[in-house]
Amino acid sequence: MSAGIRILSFIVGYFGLVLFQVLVLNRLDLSFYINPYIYLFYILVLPFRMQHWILMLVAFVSGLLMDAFSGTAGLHAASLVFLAFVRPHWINVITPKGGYEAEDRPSIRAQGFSWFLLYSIVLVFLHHFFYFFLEVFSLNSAFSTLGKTLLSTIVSTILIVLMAYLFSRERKRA
Amino acid sequence: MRNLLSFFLRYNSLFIFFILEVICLTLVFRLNYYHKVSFVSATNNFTGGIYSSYTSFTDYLNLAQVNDSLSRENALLRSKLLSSYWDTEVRKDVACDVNMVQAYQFFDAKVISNSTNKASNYLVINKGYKHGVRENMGVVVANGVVGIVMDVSENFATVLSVLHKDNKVSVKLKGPQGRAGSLTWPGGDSRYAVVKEIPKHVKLHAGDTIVTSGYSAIFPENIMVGTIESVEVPSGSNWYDINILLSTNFETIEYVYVVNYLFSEEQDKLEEKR
Repeated sequence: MSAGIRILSFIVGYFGLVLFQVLVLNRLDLSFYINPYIYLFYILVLPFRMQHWILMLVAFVSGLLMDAFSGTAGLHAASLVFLAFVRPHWINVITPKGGYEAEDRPSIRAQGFSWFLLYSIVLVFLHHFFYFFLEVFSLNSAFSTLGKTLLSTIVSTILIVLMAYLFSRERKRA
Repeated sequence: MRNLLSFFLRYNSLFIFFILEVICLTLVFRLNYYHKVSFVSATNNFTGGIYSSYTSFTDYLNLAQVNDSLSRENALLRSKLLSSYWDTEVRKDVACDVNMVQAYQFFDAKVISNSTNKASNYLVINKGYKHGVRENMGVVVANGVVGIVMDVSENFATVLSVLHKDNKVSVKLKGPQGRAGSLTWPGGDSRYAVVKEIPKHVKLHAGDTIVTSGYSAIFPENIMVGTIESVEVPSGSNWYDINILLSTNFETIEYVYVVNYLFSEEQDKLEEKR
């Protein structure tokens, strides 16, 4: 797969994910405490070797796209840039013994379920924490915001792991 | 320069992170109405807290002035009370419209020195001859009597406290035709005094109110003095010894009113002729 096609497939895939997020997940209205955000899946599975600043720039633009759809100028962009900033450091922390090989991007097939779960749950939590606290922008309801963060993190992580299974299988076929 | 450049290159991701976050947060607080408002209200909370504690501090500094102006106003209002006026209507078969004439004026004054623990206690107030204070004027507080002006200087006056062994105040039982007696202070507790010269056929009860009689022309009539605490009849006497609880709290006295009896000269002259 050449770089151009990769980028194009990333853009199309991300666009589709954002639409799924906005049109389906954001309208589910499960509970006040459960607002899963899975559009960050695409930032999670970008290649390991990607330059840090490019990663953040991609996150920034992707976040702005999400903001454009949800009418929250800058909120998603800010939290997604934060996620992109933390990502390489977290990847360094949880490097498996043999390092990363073969696969050049985080995937549930190459690194295994437990690695991917650990990898994604922490980043999703940080993203959600940043997002929800910036959203309410007050410490008055800190406990309910924290509860919202935790519950949403759990649901988002489950969805993201399911999606990781889905996409790795697709990749195998391709 | 090279160091600076290598520094930037080394931490480039951190810088880019901060630049992007600043852009994002600018967007957040510029374009989202909710965040704009809550940012402003958060800063207002902070600055407002500082402003309000500053104001409460300056308010505290102004308390003395506020107290002064309030007590001045009280004195003015007291002077306008109906009890400060006398009905001068001469009862003839003539209708008469304006027949109230002012008999008492009140000046406010601040106590600048006070004692309660001696046998002869005095107060010093910050109003003197210049302000219209003269000898033998009464001194009262809102709920009781304090004493009688003894000496007057240009700016100050000494007040013979009720808590003075030689001070006698003419008092009576509250109510129409209350029997008159005289109040003295035996020394000791500043809360209690003794009323004498009330004959023992008068019925008394603990808790009855004692007020000024208005005979002495120093205090207006019916100013609260105290309540009866206990009653004794010394053996072989026709008079009660009545212990009363003074309504004036001499320990905490701060602002007083000097009573100016406007007819004192006339009354004195008349009494001298006897």
